[in-house]
Amino acid sequence: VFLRTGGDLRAIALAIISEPAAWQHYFSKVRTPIELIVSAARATGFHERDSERLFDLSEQLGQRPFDAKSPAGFPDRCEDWMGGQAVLERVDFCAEFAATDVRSVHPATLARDILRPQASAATLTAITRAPSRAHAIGLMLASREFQRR
Amino acid sequence: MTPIDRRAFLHGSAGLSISAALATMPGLALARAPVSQRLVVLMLRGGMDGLAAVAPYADVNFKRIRGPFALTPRSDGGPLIELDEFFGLHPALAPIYGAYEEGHFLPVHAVGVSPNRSHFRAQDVLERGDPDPNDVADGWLNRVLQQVAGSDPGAAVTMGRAIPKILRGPALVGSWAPVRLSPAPADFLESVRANYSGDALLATALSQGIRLRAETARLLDAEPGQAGKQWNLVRVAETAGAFLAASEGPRIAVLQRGGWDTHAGQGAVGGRIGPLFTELAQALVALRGPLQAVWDKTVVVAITEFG
Repeated sequence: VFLRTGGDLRAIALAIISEPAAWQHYFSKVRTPIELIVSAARATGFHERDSERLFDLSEQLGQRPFDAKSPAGFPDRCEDWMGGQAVLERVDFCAEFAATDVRSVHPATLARDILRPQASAATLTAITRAPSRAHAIGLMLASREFQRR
Repeated sequence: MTPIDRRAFLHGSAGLSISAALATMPGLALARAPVSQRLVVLMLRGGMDGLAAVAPYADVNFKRIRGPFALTPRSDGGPLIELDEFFGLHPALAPIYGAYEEGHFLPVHAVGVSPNRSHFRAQDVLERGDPDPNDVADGWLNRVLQQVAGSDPGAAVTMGRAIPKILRGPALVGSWAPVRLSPAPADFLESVRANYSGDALLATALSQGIRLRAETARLLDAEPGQAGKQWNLVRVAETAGAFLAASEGPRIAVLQRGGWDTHAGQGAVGGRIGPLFTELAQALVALRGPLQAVWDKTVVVAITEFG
């Protein structure tokens, strides 16, 4: 398409989203720390003025923006972010973020809007039955449906 | 000083080695599982100046080319600690001079594949263990793990959150880093663990993280005063030593320290490189502390590259 259209960006973008392969393999990757943090913030209505907090959280999860340790940049294979400590800290992040950074969001509505239609019934049920609002939102963020992409 | 037999070194006798590139490791005797030998690889990223660490003070060109940065040995009233009649150790590395006298510290200068002046490529070579890093996809330590550890994700640990290339590949590895986020409450962890039950990647990693955290808590509780101290390389190294010393602990640990790209302001004794050497030497001593009982089965490789 690039050659045929002489590099027409609109045509290329349309070709990419028309490609069936682009719509397969849901959930085969895991979000990087930055993706997780930004998604969590967007899902829960985080305010822009708190962006420094997001930056700090990214650093704590090992992906300080613009500061990759290697000239190749941050790892882009999901296994590279899936060390034991790393995954546990992602869960810590979800619990802490839900408890301290999220205000006035209704967990069941949120789960319905954010996770569906991909979420499993088990995940939705667990969120609905969580012992507290923070626990429910944290669990939504930590759920495998939200961790993957 | 006890002379170091190269073969003995390769087969797992005690040693600290500062090496300019990967040259000697494939002979390491890790081929039998279960493995009792310990291997620590400390990556010094950015290109540690080997001629500052172990200076060839007697080389006629050294003083001429290095000028004011060329240190002179103690016998000449300078600060370098003579290793022999040719090489001298930077004074900030004095804490590991004892290991040299024991025959446990072997500096290796100027080894490697043909340089192309790219730190990027040189680190790839170092971590993938192949002169053409495009030929292999995984890190050489991961290939070691595939041979000796099967699918045990506890056999190797990286001290940091992201897994470095040297450990990447099909074999699972653990990661450990000091925590600043509050640990998630136990009931929350239980909910998440249940949620991950159908997802092998997340479930395995989470279980391992929970186990490592419990282990760390136990280790730190045993040493009052440790909590709250800064997590520099020294403390990370000591923690790695404690992990490796445990009978059920990992056998391979990877540590990393960046900041060695001292193009500007390197200095001779002071400057940027002095404190880096101090931290490195203290870290190597701290690493040995908990490993003393298994030190004769431990190899520590501190490794760097210069492009």
